[in-house]
Amino acid sequence: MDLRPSVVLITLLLFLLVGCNKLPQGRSDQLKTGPNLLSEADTIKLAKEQAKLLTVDKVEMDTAGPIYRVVFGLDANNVRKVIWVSDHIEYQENLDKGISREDAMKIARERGFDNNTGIQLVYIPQKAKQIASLRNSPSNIFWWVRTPDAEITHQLFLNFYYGTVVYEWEKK
Amino acid sequence: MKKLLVIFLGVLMVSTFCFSPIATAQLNQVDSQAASLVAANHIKAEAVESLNGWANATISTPLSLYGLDEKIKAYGFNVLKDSNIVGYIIVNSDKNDAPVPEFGVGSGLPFQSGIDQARLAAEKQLKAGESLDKEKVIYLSALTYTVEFPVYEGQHKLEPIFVDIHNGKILQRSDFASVSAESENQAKNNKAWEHLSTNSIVQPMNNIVERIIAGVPFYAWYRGCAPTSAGMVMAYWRGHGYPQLPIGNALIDQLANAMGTDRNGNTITSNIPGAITYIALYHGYNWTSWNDGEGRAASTYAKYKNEIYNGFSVVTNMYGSSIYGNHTVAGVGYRFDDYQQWIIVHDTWNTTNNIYLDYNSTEVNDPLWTYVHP
Repeated sequence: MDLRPSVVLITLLLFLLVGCNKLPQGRSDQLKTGPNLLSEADTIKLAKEQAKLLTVDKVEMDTAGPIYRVVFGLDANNVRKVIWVSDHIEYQENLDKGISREDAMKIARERGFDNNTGIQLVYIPQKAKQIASLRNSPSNIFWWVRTPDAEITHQLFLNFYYGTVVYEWEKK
Repeated sequence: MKKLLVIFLGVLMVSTFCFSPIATAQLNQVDSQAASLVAANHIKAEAVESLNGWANATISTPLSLYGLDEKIKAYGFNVLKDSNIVGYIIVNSDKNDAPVPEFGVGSGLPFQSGIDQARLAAEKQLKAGESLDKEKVIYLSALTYTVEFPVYEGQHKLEPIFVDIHNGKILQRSDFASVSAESENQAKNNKAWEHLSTNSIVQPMNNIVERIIAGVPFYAWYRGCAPTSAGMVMAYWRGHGYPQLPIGNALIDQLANAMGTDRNGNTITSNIPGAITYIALYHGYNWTSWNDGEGRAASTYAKYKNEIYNGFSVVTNMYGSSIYGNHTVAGVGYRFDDYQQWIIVHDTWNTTNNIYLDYNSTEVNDPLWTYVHP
């Protein structure tokens, strides 16, 4: 049988090409699940470089939907800013455009929350809103007030800009 | 010999044409009329009054949604009842994908209210002498909507401006990840297309089968999605013969430590079963837990359904999900009919309601089940 080198080479190449696309699935050793976050130090660096923050007051976590680090700080124009960061800046807003944390807590206390209540300023992109009332809200930024344990018994979403109650749920 | 060669070349040309991607794509293309029939039939098929209030609802005229290649990618319909919008349906234009990649109950097409704001954002990008033409909605995958505004300088067409409908951000072409329409479950999609494209009356689906394990708690994200979701699955058993188990943050703390969840909330999936059995044993119980393989070929719907049917919640890991990226949730139920299969989950993004995810869609994408047997 006359097997020319070029035929053998082409056959081998074809075999490799097809074979590489048919690798079996089932790998799970190093697969990870979880948010795509920068370290806190890199988050601050990014906020300073890209959002032009001069000082950073604090960094918190936003765990209401997609997980973000939330940077609070002051920019060169003396504007108080809040920035949501994953592995890049997801969103930013002037803090003074909405109600303050203290005002949000005041509303929460009027609705039965105590001083142990957890509060986060959260950004939930429209496509990640799984609660109908949030989906129908034009705002993507909320004060999320909730009981502290993972098994929430009472929670409140307030429209950041107006302080209106968008969603409240209490375990009966 | 020459004759043979001609015949061979002829066969090659015919087969190349018949099986070429272009010919196949044209065969699988759905026009607006056919899409309207699918949407109308989808309403009839889903019209379970107690679930969605869609009995006797109708559809609006179709709105074309485009891909980046300027071809129609899908059609959007509002669901109307008594002149009110009670939901929406999106129908794919390509039969290679599922006929209805998404639908929603309660409000209309999610992008319509954001178009005006997107135009304002686009107008801010214009230079002197430039103007915007009528917009097109770009639809690359479920729940992802972008508006494309053609830009003109006089008669000269410039690069368009893309605006993310959800946040008004200006996007570049390079920001769009490539999305493959290829489905891993073509036989099931074919059956769904056939059913929803019929001209005969589609009956409401009385044969919907739904099973949910009652009593699995809802936990909000704490330390990581994997320990939080494994915590939901384990905590259920505390009330079912395993009273020594902790619950809530205390349980999640123990699981996160045992799984080696990092400070960013990431967990290596292969650590999950060992952590579950370790924590169970720590509290005096000998449990088994193991991972199935990654992907629909290994972590099949049938296996998931079998677990739920037998009363075992499933720690559900998903990779490359169009909604979540890499994420873990607690699988607590299933719902299926002759045409679609959902998994029902408790997700850390919503601590009050069950979430239904289409197993055959990019919402789940690449699943990996972690089984937990006390």
